[in-house]
Amino acid sequence: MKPMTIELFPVQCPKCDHVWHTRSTCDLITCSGCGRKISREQALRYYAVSHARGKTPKRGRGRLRRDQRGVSEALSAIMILVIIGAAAFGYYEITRGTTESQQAGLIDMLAASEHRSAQLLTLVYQAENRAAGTLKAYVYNYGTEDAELVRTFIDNAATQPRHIRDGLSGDAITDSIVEPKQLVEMTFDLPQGEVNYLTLETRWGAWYVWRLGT
Amino acid sequence: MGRVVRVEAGDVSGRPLRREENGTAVLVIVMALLIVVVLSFVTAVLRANSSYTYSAKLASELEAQRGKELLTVAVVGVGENRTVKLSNYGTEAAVIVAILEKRDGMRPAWQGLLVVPPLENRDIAVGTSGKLGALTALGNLFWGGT
Repeated sequence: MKPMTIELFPVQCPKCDHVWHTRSTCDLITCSGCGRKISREQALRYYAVSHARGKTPKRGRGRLRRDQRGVSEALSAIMILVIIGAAAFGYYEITRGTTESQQAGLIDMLAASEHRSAQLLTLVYQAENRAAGTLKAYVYNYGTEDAELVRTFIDNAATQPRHIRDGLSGDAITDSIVEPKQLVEMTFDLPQGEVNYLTLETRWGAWYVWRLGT
Repeated sequence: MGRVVRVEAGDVSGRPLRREENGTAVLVIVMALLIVVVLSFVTAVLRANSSYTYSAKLASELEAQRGKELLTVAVVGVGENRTVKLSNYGTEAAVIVAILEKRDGMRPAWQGLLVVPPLENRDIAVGTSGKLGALTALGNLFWGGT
């Protein structure tokens, strides 16, 4: 496209000392620095006087504003970043509880399921001793993770075994933990009735129910 | 007094055009933050799910192998010179961890690790007289003898 010729006049704002070129021939022009309406003639004269003296324009409050223009742009960028950062932080803080609880809830459920699936208990044998009034249950963990027994039930009634021993060595087990590949002997008071049910609950919420008796 | 300059048609102000970049930059940063949060959440859940899937698969395989253990336990000899003869007629190897004797509950008559491959026999000498059972590593108890 062929360039066209425009005559531009150098002017200077008497309010803020901003210098620019205008093509306007109107009486009033708008300073591109401070946005004020000023007289075009006054701006032309101010520019001529200022530059005729060969000095920099006198310092005033407008000078500061003009000199800080570049700084204010960088400052505004930094302010935008600060605002975005603060907003992001605030959003994170506000939603952290919900997000973490949802995430933790999902992950905790998966972790508990993983633990449960790795605890594989089986009742391999039971023995009643009516003379001694005891019932012995032999439980074996063929899983890959410790099974910590937290609750024991006989016929839906919470009960504590008289003792828990290692089924092979006979050593007492005090922490109620059945290790992988371990056989444990649990001795209970002999329950009433011909058929009873033994229920075990492990720490991660796994339930095992076995029918006792013949 | 005036100064003649040449400018391109359409740009009569002589000033550089203002670009609307701030809004786009903010949007990009917010979107990036959202993407990071979502990706971290999805990654954590997928990792936990993968770990659970592996554990569940392992448990399923253990239970399947447990169901495939097929042993016959025969006790030969009398008194203190008895031998437990183990025959595996299943398709999976059986690992014997103990020979248990039925006596006021169960007492171990032998402890150790003995692998019985499929379609093979193994003997274990025991010095007890009660009814005996072979406990495998997968929790199966096979009784034999009297």
